[in-house]
Amino acid sequence: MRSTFADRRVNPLAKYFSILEGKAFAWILLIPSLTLVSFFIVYPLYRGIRLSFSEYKLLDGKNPEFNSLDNYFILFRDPDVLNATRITFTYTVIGLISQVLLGMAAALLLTKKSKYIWIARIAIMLPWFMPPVVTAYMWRFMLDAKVGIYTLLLSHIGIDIGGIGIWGDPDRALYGVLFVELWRSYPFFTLFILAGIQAIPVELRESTALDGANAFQHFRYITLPLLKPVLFVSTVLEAIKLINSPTLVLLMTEGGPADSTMVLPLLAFKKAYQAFDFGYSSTISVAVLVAISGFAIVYIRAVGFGREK
Amino acid sequence: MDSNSVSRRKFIGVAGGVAAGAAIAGPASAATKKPAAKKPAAKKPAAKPAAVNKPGSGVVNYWNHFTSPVERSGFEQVTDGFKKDFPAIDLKVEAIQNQDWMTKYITAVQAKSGPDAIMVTASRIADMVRIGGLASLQVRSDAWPTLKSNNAEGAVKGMQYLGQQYALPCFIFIDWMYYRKDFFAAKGIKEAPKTLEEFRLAAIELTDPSKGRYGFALRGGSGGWGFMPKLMTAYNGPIVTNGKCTLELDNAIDALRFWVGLVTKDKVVPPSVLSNGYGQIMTSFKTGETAMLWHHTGSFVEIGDALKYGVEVATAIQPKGPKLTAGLTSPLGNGIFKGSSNPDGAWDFITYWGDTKAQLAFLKATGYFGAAKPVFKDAAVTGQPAYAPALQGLQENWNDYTFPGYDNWMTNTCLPEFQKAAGGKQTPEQAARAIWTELREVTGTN
Amino acid sequence: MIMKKTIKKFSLSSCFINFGLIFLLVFALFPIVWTIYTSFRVEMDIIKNPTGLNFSELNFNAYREVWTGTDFPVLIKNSLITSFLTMVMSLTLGTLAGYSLSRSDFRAKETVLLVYLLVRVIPGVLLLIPIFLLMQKFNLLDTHIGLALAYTTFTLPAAVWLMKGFFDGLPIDLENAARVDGCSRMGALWRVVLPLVLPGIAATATLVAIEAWNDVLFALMITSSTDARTWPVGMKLLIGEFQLPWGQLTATAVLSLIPVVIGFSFAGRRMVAGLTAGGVKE
Repeated sequence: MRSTFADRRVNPLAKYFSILEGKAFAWILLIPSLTLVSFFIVYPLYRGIRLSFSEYKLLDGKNPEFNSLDNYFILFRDPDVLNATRITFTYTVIGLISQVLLGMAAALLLTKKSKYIWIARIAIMLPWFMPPVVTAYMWRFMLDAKVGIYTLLLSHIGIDIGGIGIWGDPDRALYGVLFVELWRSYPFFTLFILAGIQAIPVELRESTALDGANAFQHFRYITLPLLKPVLFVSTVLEAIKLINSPTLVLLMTEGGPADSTMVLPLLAFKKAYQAFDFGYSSTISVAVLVAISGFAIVYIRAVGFGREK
Repeated sequence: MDSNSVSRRKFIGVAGGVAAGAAIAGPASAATKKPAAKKPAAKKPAAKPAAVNKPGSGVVNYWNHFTSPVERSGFEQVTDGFKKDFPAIDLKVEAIQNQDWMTKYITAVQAKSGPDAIMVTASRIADMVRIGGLASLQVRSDAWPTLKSNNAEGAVKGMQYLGQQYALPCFIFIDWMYYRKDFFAAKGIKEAPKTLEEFRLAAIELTDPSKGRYGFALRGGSGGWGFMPKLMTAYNGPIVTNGKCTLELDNAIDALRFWVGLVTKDKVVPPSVLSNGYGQIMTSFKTGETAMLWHHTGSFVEIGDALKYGVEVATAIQPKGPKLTAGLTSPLGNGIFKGSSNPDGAWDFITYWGDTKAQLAFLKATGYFGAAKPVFKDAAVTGQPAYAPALQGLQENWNDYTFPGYDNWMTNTCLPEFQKAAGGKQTPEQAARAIWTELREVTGTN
Repeated sequence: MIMKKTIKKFSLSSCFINFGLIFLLVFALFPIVWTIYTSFRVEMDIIKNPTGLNFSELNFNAYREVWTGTDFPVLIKNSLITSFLTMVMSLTLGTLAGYSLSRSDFRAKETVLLVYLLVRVIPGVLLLIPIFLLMQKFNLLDTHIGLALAYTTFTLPAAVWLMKGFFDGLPIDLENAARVDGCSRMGALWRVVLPLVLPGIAATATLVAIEAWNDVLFALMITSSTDARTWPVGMKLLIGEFQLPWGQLTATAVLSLIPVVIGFSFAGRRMVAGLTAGGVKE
């Protein structure tokens, strides 16, 4: 397919639009949303960063006191933070890979031409539409060691998840949540990959099939490159979601058993709202923020998302 | 959040399950008689109340953490009565889930905009005071003698922090034990275990994994933190006295060895123990998977729905450890939010619920024990023989702790450390040391 | 000759595809079906016989209780208003910004993209209190618009980034041709570009709507009464600490799925429409 950027270089008119007239116009389109975003994030960000360099324990009944890098020194030596970082990493990497793969497979299957394919499309999206609260409670129930319907069904085919069960086993609980996360979130990728595939012109989608190129080659050399922008954006967004708001962990295990599912944002949350240490909680959050931003910048540079010319 | 300061429980009206008709005469007379009898005693400072506690009016915003339909219908009894007695006050209620409670509370304190009246549990009272959202009620309660004359002493004390009254009790939680009478009989065990050792032996006797039966429904998952201070109290005596840690490491180790041992050595609990919260232990007990259950009076009706009292199931006081009973009794009450624009209206509401009449209405609808002494003598309580151990518990284990960081220590130190030990990731001694160290740290004990 | 070959191949891969689809449908739908089944069961039956199939006692009690015994109808109305406002604002702002970032070229572009992303990168713990204070200051607490503004902010990054991605996939010649024909810049965007990215808009709208529809955190903090409280908060309140009313919980889930499914079937049709439009233009 024609690359936008290549076209722009070739077509003199494109240059005219994108550069000469473009700049002022570009900013006019950006300003409303940038204003709204700034309104909501400048103050929280300022406050969070300031608190991360402060001693601020609500139980002391004192105002925040600047303590320079003290919190950060504690952070780097805190075994709980190390443990949570490891768990967050596992959760994000496995979660992301499994969801992309399943989401992609589902999207490819759903491009099948059929009169009734729209029903399948809606049906496969449903897990994503389910309210997370219900997803969490239903799955905990369905995978219960004693009374779970899946425990029962799986036992018929020789898989035993009874006994200690998934939720009572510090070595398995995280994978249990990851499985439910996969079930709930793969449709996110399916939806966007599907939308991406549909943006590919029909001739391109079918021409190679007629040429006799096999399906995999077609996918590898035609579909995948065209899906790159969509895949890039959706993986970034989902990775951030997994790191930053692990809703299901919160609802299903609360970090337990034995802290085996204690991810970083949950740790930061507990430090703030259960231990009432807002200084240190902010330090954890800011560290996470810096780390994600760092990864995001590297990733964006590598892919060249903001730099097309 | 924790099991002893629980606020929402299903307890479908004792009025329905227990002597409904007989109860009507009792409470009515108690309600009218008691205040009348108290009046002479209250006469001395009679001039003062008018000055300190002015009659309120206008809107009163109130936060509670009632979420179950039963609690709500019980609470409706209270608010209906309140509206009748205080027509000038418009009570607006916001229900907040316990797990979101502190989040909302802290935000309200920081934003200086909260409710007027607010529910307070004993284990959280120190935290809530330190964070700065609770107004001291000392002056007001000094001018309201009913508080001390009419309520159980422990309930009044449980709502204090550093000698100041911060809330007025409205009901109490009494720990006790449920056990399968039929299982006990089948094994030839004549009576409920009185000590922790007897309890352990009975649990071993009752356990038969081949039949899928276990002696004890241990709560090792969510909410299980509440048992840790109780056990340590049983082995040690009070673990915190006057705000300082009085827990001995050796006693903590003994307590943890016992509790972890039930899982790893004696194997008297269902294997999924570490994920078992309230729902799981309750289900396992009701379905006969387990033979003994520790909880408070709040599950009385729920269990009665599934099993027959006196035949299949019975209640008993919590077993004793080397020092004390492994159970606590603690009150729940209501306070006034600091900075409230309508403290007089809020006071009217919390005193209304702090008195016998509202508590009796609430007891009838939900089964909660009130904090006022006349409630214990009501026919709804005395008419039910299974309640006897609760009344006994009321005399023996009036204990709960109020120190800053209590909830956090239970939730984020006691439970995970126990789970690590029970899951084989560390020894009970290591868990005990971690718990003990953290308690000393939290209480600033050197 | 060629035709024959393709047909044969089609039937083979078609078989494979059908098998895959069935597997996926079972994987995705079984829990949903089980949830729906649970919503019609008798509470006692769920507790006593959790894994059992018992069709004789199915009833609508849970739905009736939810509809009459709770604030659910009001909450659903609030949710619909808030989600709709969010969708309109987020998509409008997101499409404009995404278009700008896709078509223009200026030095700060990468930074601007990162600024949007920052909104999502900030952990929730850092946001709760400051956002509440901001809302309080501007009298937005407990209002639909306050909640919708918060949701718009937090869905904007996704909308901007995704829309930029979709615009990137469209050749710029089309707009230029339109401009040569006398269209204004906005005219070209409106008449030529937008119809071509409809599948992308539909997908993004779905994402935005789902996030606004299912959010609990902000709804819980910012609302304090049924004036603006959304249904997930109401649902969360259903869950007692000591008791899970399975029937009511699953019934609310099913009720909340209905508007989403209706909305998505419209969006889904848009996606198909976009497909043919994409084919026409090359």
